[in-house]
Amino acid sequence: MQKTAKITSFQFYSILFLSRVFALVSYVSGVRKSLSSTDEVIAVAVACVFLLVASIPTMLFIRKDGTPSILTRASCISPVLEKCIAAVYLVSIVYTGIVTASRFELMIGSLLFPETGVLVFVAAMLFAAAYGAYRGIESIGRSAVIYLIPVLGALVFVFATLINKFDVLNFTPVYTSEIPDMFDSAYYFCARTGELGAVLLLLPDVKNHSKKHMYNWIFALSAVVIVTELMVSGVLGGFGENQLFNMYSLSVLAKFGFVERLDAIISCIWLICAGVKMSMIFYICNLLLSSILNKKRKLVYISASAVAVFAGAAVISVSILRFSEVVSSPLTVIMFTFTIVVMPLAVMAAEKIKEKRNEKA
Amino acid sequence: MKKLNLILLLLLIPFVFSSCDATADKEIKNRLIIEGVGIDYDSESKEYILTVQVLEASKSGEEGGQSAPVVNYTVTGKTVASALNSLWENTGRYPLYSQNRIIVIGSSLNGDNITRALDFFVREYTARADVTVAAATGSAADVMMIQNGGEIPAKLIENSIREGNENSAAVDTELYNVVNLSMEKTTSFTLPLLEIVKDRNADGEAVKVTGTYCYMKNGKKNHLSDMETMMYKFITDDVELGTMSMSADGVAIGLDIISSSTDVKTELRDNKPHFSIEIKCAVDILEYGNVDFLNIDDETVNRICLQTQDYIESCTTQLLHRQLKEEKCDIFRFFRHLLLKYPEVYNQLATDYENALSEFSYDVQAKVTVRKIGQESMVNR
Repeated sequence: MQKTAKITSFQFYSILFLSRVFALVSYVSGVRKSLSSTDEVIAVAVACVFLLVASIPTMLFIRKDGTPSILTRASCISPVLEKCIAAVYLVSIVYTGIVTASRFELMIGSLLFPETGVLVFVAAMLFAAAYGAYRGIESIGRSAVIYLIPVLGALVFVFATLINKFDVLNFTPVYTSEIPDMFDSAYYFCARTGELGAVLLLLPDVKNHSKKHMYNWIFALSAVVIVTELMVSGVLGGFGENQLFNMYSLSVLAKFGFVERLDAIISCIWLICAGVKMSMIFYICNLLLSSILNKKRKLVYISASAVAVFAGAAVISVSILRFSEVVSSPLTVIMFTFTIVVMPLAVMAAEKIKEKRNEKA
Repeated sequence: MKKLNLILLLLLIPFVFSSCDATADKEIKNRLIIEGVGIDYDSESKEYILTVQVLEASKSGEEGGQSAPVVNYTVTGKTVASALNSLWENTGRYPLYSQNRIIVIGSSLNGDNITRALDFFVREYTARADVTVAAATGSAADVMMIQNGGEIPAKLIENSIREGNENSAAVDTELYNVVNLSMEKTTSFTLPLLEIVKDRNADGEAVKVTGTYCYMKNGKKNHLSDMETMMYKFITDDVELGTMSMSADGVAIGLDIISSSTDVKTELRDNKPHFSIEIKCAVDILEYGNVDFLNIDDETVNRICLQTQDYIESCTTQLLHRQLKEEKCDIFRFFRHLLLKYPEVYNQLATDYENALSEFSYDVQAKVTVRKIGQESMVNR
């Protein structure tokens, strides 16, 4: 049996960062109740605070370097509990995978090749991602580190070229939206960071993991998300409300000397981040299926996950309405709450109960 | 494992050949590469009349051509989309809008019609959000039809607007800006105005930027001259560079604007909105009457600064008065400033914004510094 290679903390959080950047650049405005531009920025900032709060159970769960994953710790309590938890995570991760592939299909289908069927591109991307997952976490981690600098550089470059188009007058007065709507949006933004669940599942694959790295990731992510939202509101203004992918529309306006239309940069970021995110998803699917079925069949599990994700995406991305229904459904928020907040707390509570019982016995 | 990889690779190979598929209708020579679109409106038939300038890819490589490698198509439709679709039906070639340089709006369209007409370009996936939008004094078709040697007319128009913008003689309004401003309940948007003039260097005609059109919310429009356009750009902090000519004490002064920044402060005075506009501007002195150039002393420089400040202040004040008090037109986004700082006051005034504009007060302060006189730097003095 091939020995599982470990990745560094930096590689691990690079994967998570790129994965979340995909969710950021592929955000479809208009699928949910929209807020006024300034309130949208505030909601994003609040979402970052929510994310910090939501990470507390994960922080408590991580005791020290080498902490077993949530599955291993659940199996120590009860093998049935382990399988139940793995099943919930599997549903959540496959759902995330389907939404990711649908976003990818929608982006390619509506902006890059609207005149052709693009499912073949989705299939090619999923195939590449599945191959990446098959090669193991180390290859995904190394790729993520290589891609991280160009992706960050590209984002900074696009934003820098747009500074002269930034207009404060494009903002709106604060709190023109309903406060509950703002909190609802903020929690939804937060719930789109399902990558936090990967921390609980992939802990044994990361060497020298520390909470500091996790905080750094959250703060870096928050900074990128807030700056992006500021740029979208400050540059596009109301025009952004008519655009499907704001980040793409923003990049179309970017110019640097004779270099115009930097949207190709954003398209590259999409491809890279989608590939990394899907690889991570398939890798986790393999982990969860191995845990549920008690058999290690990497190729079968990864292939099955890829087929399931492709089928789901093919059904959902048929129309923007169906896509909107799925994406704006409470499923995202419910999954996030369960997998990130409830489950680690439940496992820790069960451990305490078992510990006390053992003490009494 | 190697065998499996090989099989997968072989399975992928057919996809590589797929790009050689006979997708003839998507080949560049079979596409209508749109360079510019002129939009007119026939109020009788209630149809849009579009003049679409298309690049003839087969002619574009020819050198020394007397005519531009473009063809103008005229199409009509109840909507812009239907008109452009008929272009596809008539030519059998699929339009590509990503090359589109300019959208010219004819005088037959008013503010509301314009935003409706532009909606297609906002939603079309290949259209550029930063395409320049301009207005014509007459028909947009006439502007699009002007031929000037072998150059692409749409390119020439785009260049003259860009150049005018860099010299602060024209506003450069991009599509997304027009959409943003037209979405604001109280703001009137502006477009650079194109006029057909006799070409001094040739026998034909040419298109020239001649000030700015302001599209008011009541459907009317008013015109800003070249000088007023520069003052408008001063107020809206849009001046990049430019040349300013003025006369003081009977002496002609030529100034080159090097940099400019404007700060608009909003406050309430006696419960009425007041806007304090502070313009900071750095100039080079290009010309100063007939005085010996080397003998411009500091006192003269200070006087030029004061005279320039007075000139900017009086011209901007006149423009503010005309637009706000006479035309009842907010092209300066003052209401937007008010909305951000005093939303309650905005909500009270926005319902009857035309009358509210007469309640607005303002003051302009200009601060001009001289960087160089000709080639001489003021820093070394």
